[in-house]
Formats: sequence, C-alpha cells, structure tokens
Amino acid sequence: MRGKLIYMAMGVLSGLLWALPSLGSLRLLLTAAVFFVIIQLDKRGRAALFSCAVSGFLAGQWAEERNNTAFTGDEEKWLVTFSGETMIDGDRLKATVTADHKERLRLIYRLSSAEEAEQLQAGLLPGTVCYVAGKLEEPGGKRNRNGFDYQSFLKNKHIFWQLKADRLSLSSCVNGGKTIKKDILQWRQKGISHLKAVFPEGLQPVAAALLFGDRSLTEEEVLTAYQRLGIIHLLAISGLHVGLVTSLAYYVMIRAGIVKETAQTALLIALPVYALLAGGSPPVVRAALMTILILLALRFQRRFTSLDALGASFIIVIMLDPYLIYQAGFQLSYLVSFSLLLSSPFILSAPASLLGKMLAVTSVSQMAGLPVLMYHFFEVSIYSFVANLFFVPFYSFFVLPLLVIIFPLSFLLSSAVILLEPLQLLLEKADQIAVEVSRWPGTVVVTGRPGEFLLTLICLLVLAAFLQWEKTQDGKRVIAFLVMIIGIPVTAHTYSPIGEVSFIDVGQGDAIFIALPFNKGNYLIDTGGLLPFQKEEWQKQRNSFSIGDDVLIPYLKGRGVTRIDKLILTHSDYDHIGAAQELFPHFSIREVIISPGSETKPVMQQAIEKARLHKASIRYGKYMESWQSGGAYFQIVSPADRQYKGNDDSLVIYAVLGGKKWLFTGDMEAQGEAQLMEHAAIDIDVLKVGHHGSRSSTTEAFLSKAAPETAVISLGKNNRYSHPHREVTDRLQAHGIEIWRTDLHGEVVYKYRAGETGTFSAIYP
Amino acid sequence: MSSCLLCGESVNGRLGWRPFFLLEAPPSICGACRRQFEPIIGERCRACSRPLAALDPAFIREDRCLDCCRWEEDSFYKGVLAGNYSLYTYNEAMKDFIARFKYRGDYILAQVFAGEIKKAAKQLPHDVAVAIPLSQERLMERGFNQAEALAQAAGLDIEDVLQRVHGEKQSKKSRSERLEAANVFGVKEKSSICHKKVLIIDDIYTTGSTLRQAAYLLKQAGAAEVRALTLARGQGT
Repeated sequence: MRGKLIYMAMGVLSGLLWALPSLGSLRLLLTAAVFFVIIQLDKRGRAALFSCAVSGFLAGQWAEERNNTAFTGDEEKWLVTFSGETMIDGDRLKATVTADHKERLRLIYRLSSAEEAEQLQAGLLPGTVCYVAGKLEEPGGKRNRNGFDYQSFLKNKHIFWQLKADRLSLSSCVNGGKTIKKDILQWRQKGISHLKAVFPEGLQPVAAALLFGDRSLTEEEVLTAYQRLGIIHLLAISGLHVGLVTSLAYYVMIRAGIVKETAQTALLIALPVYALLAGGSPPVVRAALMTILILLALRFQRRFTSLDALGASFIIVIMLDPYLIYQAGFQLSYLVSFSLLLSSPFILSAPASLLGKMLAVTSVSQMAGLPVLMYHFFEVSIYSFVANLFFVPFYSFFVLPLLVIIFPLSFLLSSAVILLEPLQLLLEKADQIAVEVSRWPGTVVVTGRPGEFLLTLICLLVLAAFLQWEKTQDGKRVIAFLVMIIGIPVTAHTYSPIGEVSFIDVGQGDAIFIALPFNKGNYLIDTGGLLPFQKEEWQKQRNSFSIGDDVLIPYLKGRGVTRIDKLILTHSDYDHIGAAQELFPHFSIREVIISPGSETKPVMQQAIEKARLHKASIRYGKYMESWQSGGAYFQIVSPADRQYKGNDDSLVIYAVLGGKKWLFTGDMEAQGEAQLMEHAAIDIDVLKVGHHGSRSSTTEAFLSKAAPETAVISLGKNNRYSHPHREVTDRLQAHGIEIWRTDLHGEVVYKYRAGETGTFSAIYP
Repeated sequence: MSSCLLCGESVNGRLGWRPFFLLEAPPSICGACRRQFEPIIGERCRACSRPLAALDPAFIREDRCLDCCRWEEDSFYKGVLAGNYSLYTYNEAMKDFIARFKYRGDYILAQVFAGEIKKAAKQLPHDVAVAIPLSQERLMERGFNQAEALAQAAGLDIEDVLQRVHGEKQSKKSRSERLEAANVFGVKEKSSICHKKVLIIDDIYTTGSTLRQAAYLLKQAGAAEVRALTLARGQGT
C-alpha cells in the first residue's frame, strides 16, 4: 500500500462527492481521474481503490442521513453547553453551543450594557452549562446567485438553527464537568486573555492570530489589504507554522539533552494539544496529523512518504467529518500541500537562487489555489506572487518564532514583552505598506465565479500548467498558462452573449442590475441599503452587516463585473441608495445619474462625496433623455420638473430590451403615475412595481393604461411596512399579471440572448 | 511499489506530477544504485565521447582525443564513423552492471538505461538503427544479443543488416590485435541502408575498432553516414 495512500484518498473523495451535494462536473472529473488510475494499478491496488471509493460513498450517505435536526423549532427552554467559539462583537454575543441530542446551535444574544458584555466574556468559559430562554430561528438561505448561503454554511457545520436568546445570565450557569478537551480550550481562552493583558496593543491581533488562530481582533482594513495581496493565509495558522513550531520545539528538546525517542514521544502528545490550542482549523489539523503520522512511522520503522501522510490525513479527516470538503480553508490547505509536494523536485532542483526557489514555491501555491479562490472569492490577487516573497519569510522566520518564544516567557517575566517593541514597530510599518500597496490599481483581477464546466476547464488547465512546468521548466510557458487560466473566466463573463435584468434581493429596497449582451453596457438602478441606527460606542460591531459589502459587491464580483457604465440613483432614500457609497472603491463607475434636486438630502450627499473622491462624473438625469446600446433603448420619462420633493421625483426609466418593454419606477407613487400618463403614452410589458408594492403606488388607472403582463416587486422578507399591500397584489392579479417578488423568490432574473426574447427565473421559483 | 533491479531494495517513486498521474513509469533502480553510475558530463571528445577532463592534455588535440586523431589518420578507416555518443563512463559500477547483464544473462537489466538510450537516440539524427550482432556461437552461449536488448528496451526498431562471420571475443584481445584483425562482419541486406543515416547501437565503446569495422562495411554497402550510440565509454588501452 506504501506510496498509494494518496490514490486511496482520491478514491474516498470521489465516492464522497457522489453522496454529498456537489458540482456534477467536478464529480465527473474526479471519477475520471480515479478510473485513469484504476486501469494502471495492479489487482490489489484496484480492489483497494475501488473499496475506498465505495466506503467514501457510504460514509457520505451515512453523514448526509444523520445531518438533520432533532428539534421542531417550537422549543423555548434550553440547557446549553458553550464550546470554544464564544465571540462578543459590539452588543452581540455569538457562540456555538451544544444542546440536547448533542445538537449544535448558533446562539445569538443582544447585550444590554458594556458591563454585561465584560461579565459574559469572562464567565462563559468553554464547557460552561447555562439555562437559556429563547426561540429557534431558521438561518437565512441563499437570496442571490453566488450569494452567501448562511443556511448551508451552518448546515455544513452541523448547525440547523439560530437560537435567539432572550435571557442569558451567569447566575443560571454552572461550570460543566471537566474533560481534557475543555481544559485545553480553557487554556486557549486564558492564553488569549493573558495576551490581551500584557502584549503591546499593536501586537495583540497578530499574536492572537498566529498563536491561537483567533483573527477576530484584526482590523478590517488590514484584513482587506492582506486579502487583496493574497497573503491573508499568513494571519491564519498554516501548516507551515505548525511545522516551524514543531521543529523549534524538537530542536530545543534535543539541545536540552533529551533523547530523540523521548522528544518524539513528547511531540506526539503535544501535537493534538497544540492543534486544539491553535483553534483547530483545517490546515492546523492537517499539518498536525501529518506530523503525527510521520513520527509514528519513524517510531515503528515503517517507510512512509509525505504524500502518503497527506493521503492518510485526508482520509482520516474527511471520514470524521465529510462536510469539511465544502470549506475553502480545507480545500486550499490540501490542494496547496498536494501541489507543493508534487512540485518539490523541480522547486528544489531548477531555480538556482533562494529567491528563485521562493518564487517557485509561491507560484505553485497560488496556481494550485486559483480554482478555489475564483469559486469562493470571485477574484484572484496578482501581487500575491511578489507579496508572498516578502511577507512569508517575514512572518515565518521572524514574527512567528519571536512570538512563540516570548509568549511563554511573558508568563514568568512580564517585562519580557519589552523585547516585542521593535517587532511592533516593524509590523506597523509592514501593515502600512500592505494597506498602501493593496490600493494600487491592478492588485486583484475579478474573475467572477466560474460556471461548472468552466471550473472543470480551469482545473484541467492548472494541471496542464504543472505538467508543462515540470517537463519544460520554462517560466514563460507557465506565465502563458496563468494568463489563460485567469483570462478565460474573465472573458467568458465579460463577453457573455446573454443579456440579463436582475432584481437583486437586497432585503427591503431596490437594486436592479442590467447587463447587456457582449459587454455593451452595465447599468445599476439603485443599490439598496440599510437605515442607519444610532448606536453607542460599545454597541458598535466590528464587522456589521451592510448591503454593499455583504450583498451587492460579492454579487457583482461573482458575476465578474468590474465596470458600471451608469449608476442610476433614483431618489434619496436609504433603501435605494444607502449602499452606493460602498461601491466606488470596488468598481469603475463611469457615470452617476441622480434625480434633479435629490442631492440636498444627506444620504445622497454621502454618495456624491464618495463619487467625487473616486472621480466618477455625476449629473442630473434629464427629462426625456435617451440612449441606445447593444440593441437596447433607455429613456428617462420622469420627473418632468427639477424640484425634488421625494418619492414622486424618482427617476423613472423606460427601456426596451430583450424583446420587452420595461418600466423601472423607483418609488414613484400615485401622483407621479398620473403625471407620467399625462405626458406619455405608456405601454409596457414588465413593470417594476413602484415603492415595493405599497398601496400608495400602482393605481388601477395606471395599470389599465400601462397594461403590463409581468410585475416585479422588490422588497424584504417580513418587512416592517407589510409590503406588498394586499390592494396592490389583488389589483395585479385582477389584471392577470404574473407577479415576481424578491421576498418570496429571492433574486429575480430575466435572461435573454441578443436579439431574442428571454424568460424570467428566480432563486426560489 | 517495485524493487530496485540491482539491489532489491524498494524504490520510492519519484515525486512529481507526471509520476503521480502514472505518465512516467516508476524508476527501475533505486537512487542509491543510480548514483553509482557516472554519466559523462562536461567536455568530451567530439568524435568518441571520451571525457576530456580526466585525460592528460598531451592526449588531447583541440576537442578530440589522440585516439580519434589516429583513427582519422588511418587511410582505411578515415571518415568511416561520424561519431560515437556514450552515456556513462566505464567505472566499477558499470563494469559490474555489464558483467551481470551480458555475461551472467540478467536480461531485464536492459530496462535500466532504456529511457536514457531512447532520449539520446532521438537526438542523434538517423534513419535506421542497427545493433552490433553476435556470432551464432556466442548468441547460443548468452541467449541474447546485449546490443539488441538495449535497443529494444529503448523502443528502437532494429534492422537486421549485419552478421558476424568470425567469432572471437573482442574482450580477450589487445588493442593492436583488434586493430589488425580482419573484418569480422558481413552485410546481409543492403537495400534498407542505402543512402540512409545509420545509428549503430552497442553496449560499450572501448577502442572503437568493432564499431569502425561495422561502420566501414555499412558505408561500403551505401550508407550515407554512420554514427554509434553506446551505453559506456571504456578507457581504450
């Protein structure tokens, strides 16, 4: 079996993919690869690989059957155990807890004061058992294409409910029974508190991230910069870190005169503890497990290749929890390790200089991760190839060892942290540079999420690139492959022959994205947005939900959009343009069109300020102005005057595209509709219903005159205004109009081929 | 996992993308055994592949060794052999290898250098490959022709053109004896080599007389050019 475990791992994975929901094309690709291997193996190998695939399939089936909730959703009283992940962010406490039937729940609790936050932070140690009153809520599912699917995300962590706790007090909590795991998790929490107490403030985030795998202290700005530079992995404990820490510990023990065998045994015991202390993320578990396997092999004098160790650790990990395969961190960890191992001969032999070798290591890692990055993050970092050259050695051979040595020292001698001052200065400088460089143009290329078959093609191209690299050692060829791998999805998205009108589900609000076929125009009508809340300083969350960052930007990037030709802001309401200001740093916005006079309102002013900062031109939409592009026609048909009074002065756009006549009404109400009918003969096919289906819009007279066949209502699920109003839906139905609603259907899309009529579809049809 | 053909230790497959996808056969001998052999690298005699680095400068004329100059002075053999390309020096490991392969009949060892012979043959321009034949008697004794075995393992198509008419072992003769010996070969079949570039395959180049005799006949029979590819370059004495 020696040397073949990696094939067995492949077999298990291919079986698993058939049992768990996954992309059909990837299933086929992997199955084809397994067959390719099977025909070349000897009889025993074949039997082993086949049984691996079968057991992978059965394990997946079994896990899928058991991955169900035991609760009905009506329970109100709970006895829950807190595990390691308790986080307090502003006035929210979020934790993963274990309830009856060992089922995990995501607990959310709104804190009433800063004191309460402090108390709970200190009191809710891992293992604490509490009585909690609260209701279960189903986590929100996917609302838009490529959108974040919180429901599946939690389901893959075996969590099916959010528990909204009404009462949570330490007086109804007890410290649960002791287990070794709880002890270790408590050490972890104590370690983090110790670090917050004695380390210089500027170093706390990095120390928490590198020593305990806790990234929650890191500033958003730095995270974004690191992400754009493709060095975010440095702020997670990677396999490399585990290797470095292990080697350091081993070296120290040997130097201290400990016998090799004893030192190895000590490592065998320490590694699982370290994996838990470090937060137990997939790369940490992988690296710890691989090291343990290799140490065991040494102990029993078995030969074991590192590829075997990788395969064995993969099999162990996914047999224990098959749902890990959905995690980007897991995918990257195994893909990159696998590629580095297979590429190690030519990394070691070919480039003569150390710098060359490091560039090769970076390039192999980046190239292997490309399909995963494109799929999960919709963009790839171009500077990463260079940025890693500087940041990897800085972190691995300087920051990490220093932290690992000084942290234990600081328990004995709290003045030891003085040694960290120079490090803090250096890190600040490094972060500044990272933030600065990440803002340069061309840092990232937005590729969008590749479709199923494109993704398979990209995987095959990456594989071909590695084979070519190995065979020819020709850097130019590798670069040519890279250009192709990145260029194909970009081109496929940009020059798509399909035109789309998408009513993006931004909750209560409007955001309509029109993409004409063959890159002939990208228009965004409104952006959605949240009403701002006044919050006290302690209540503010470090990373609060926003329509721009959490919905619209990922949506557009997922579709490979980098340019918006016209951003049309219909009127000055938060639910229409609140997120506009967030868009400017991410997209090249050619022109912003606003309703005359609407700039007097503060929300529009904020947007205009940001637009100016990014040098986007801003202008009023002129009454009856029109433009044509890619076989589509657009005209602004309201307001006729230049005075801004509110909803009735929304920019209203009439369009002819995809074989249909459209009216995008913004929040136009009865008065605006009446004026519109006076000035123009409105005859349309599709109506974007005004003001989210409020009874103040969509009058009987207007419907009779405009006579649409389809109506789309953009509004939030369970919104506080009870939109859409019954009168409106009744009226629409009486006219026999087909209704699409973003609250029920999620994102609603009309797709058409250039020169043809299209069809409507939705996430939840 | 397979075992090393020479020492029997298990062979760890080479790490790499091609081996992983089984596009490359696992190595036939282990790394330790492979390292015993000494590939000819650096400067070599343009005509016979003799490594020049280890040779006394007195025996070097520009980029050729004195031996080859002497061959070219010989009016009979002048220009007969366009060149010989050898892969390895005839060191202890190679001596053991060839003894085991050729004299003790370990036929499978032909596989060990198959890849390298194939690669080298590709780079030497030729239309036809020919193996140095054995006499009937020697063939019966050994069971196989070592040159042919090497060529076949390397996937080369061998034309059966030459035959050996005289059967005395070359390795039992001195240089002068070899040089003076009458030609031991005969050409069976002329049509397939006429106006062609011919590549002769053999296991070892020692003095070059065998190869030159064969080359002479091939030239006589109409070959346009004759080169040799040999596994080892012995030290001719």
